[in-house]
Amino acid sequence: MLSTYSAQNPYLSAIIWLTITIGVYLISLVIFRLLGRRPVFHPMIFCIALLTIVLFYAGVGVTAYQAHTNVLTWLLGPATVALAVPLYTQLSSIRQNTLAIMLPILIGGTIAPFLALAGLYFVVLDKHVRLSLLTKSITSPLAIETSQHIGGIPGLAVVIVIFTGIVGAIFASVVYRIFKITSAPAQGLALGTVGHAIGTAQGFQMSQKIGAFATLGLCINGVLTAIILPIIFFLIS
Amino acid sequence: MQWFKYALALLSLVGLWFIGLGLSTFIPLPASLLGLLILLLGLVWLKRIPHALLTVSQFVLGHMLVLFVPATMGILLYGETLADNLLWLVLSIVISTLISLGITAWVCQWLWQAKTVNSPASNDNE
Repeated sequence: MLSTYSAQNPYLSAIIWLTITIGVYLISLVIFRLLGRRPVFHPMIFCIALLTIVLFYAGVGVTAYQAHTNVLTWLLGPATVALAVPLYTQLSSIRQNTLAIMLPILIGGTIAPFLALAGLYFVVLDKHVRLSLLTKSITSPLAIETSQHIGGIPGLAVVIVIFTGIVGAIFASVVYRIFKITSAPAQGLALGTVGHAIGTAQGFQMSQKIGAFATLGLCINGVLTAIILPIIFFLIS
Repeated sequence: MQWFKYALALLSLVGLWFIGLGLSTFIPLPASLLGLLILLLGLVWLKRIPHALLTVSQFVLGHMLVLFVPATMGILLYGETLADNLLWLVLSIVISTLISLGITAWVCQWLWQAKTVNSPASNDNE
C-alpha cells in the first residue's frame, strides 16, 4: 500500500502524492468541462471528494498528506507575485476610475469579514476561530501570514478563505441577477474583492474583461487587508 | 531558447518571493505581497511586460487552483473540532459572502454609471 512506501522514503511519497494531486485536479477539470462548465460543479468540489476517497483507501491522514504536498502550498507565494502582471495592465484603468474602483473594494473588503463576524455574534466560539474569519476574503498566502500576525489559526483561515471563494464563484451569477448587476467592471471587481483568487478564476471563465477587473479587486483588497488588519490589531493591543 | 526564457521567468517569480521574504523581516507585511509590489515597480520602470513573463504568469494564474488543493483538504481536519458550531459558521460565511458580493458590485455599478453620465466622452461602457 501507499502508506508503507511513505514511511520509507519521504521524497518518493512526495512525488507520489504530488502526482496524485495533479491527476485529481486534471480529472476534476475534465468533469467540470464535461458537465458544461456550470459554476455549481466547481472543480474544487470534485478535488475534495476524490482526494477524500483516495486518502481513506490509502490510509493516509490529512496532516501527512499536507506534509507530502507542502511544495504546492508554498508555491502559492510565487504565484501571488505573478499577480503584479495583470495588475500592471490595469494601472491606467485605476488612474482613470480611481473612485469607482477603490470605494467598492474598500466597502466590500470591510463588510465581508465583519458581516461574517456579526452573524456569529451570539454563537460561542474560540477567540482564535473568530480572528481566523477576518482574513476570509483575501488570497491564501496573504491570509496565512496576516492570520499569524493577528492571532488567528492559519490552517483554519485558509480553509475559510477557500470556502468563501468557492461560495462566491458558485453563486455570483445568481447574486448578479438578483441585484441586477450587468456591467463587467462591477461583476469582476466584486468577484475578486470578495472571492479572491478562486473568484477571479471564475471571472476569467465569464469573460476576459470580468477577469481583469476581478484581478484588480483581488490585488487591492488583499494588499489593503494585509496592511490594515495588523495595524488595527497593533493599535488595539 | 524559448524554454530557457520561460524557466527564467518562473525562477524570477520565485526569486522575487525570496526577496520579499528577506524584506518581511524589516517590513511587517506578507512576503508574497512585498514580492508583488517589487515586480509591479519593476514593470512600471520597464514600461512593458516581457513576453516570457506574460506567458508564464498567465499559465500560473490560470492553474492557481491546484496550489490550493492541499490547504483545502484541511476542511477534513477542522470539521471535527468545529462540529458544534459548524452549521452556524458555514451559514454565516455563505450569507456574508453573498451579501458583500451583491453590495460591492452594486456600489461599483452605481459609481461607474454616475461617472459615465457625467462624462459622455468616456469610452469605458460596453
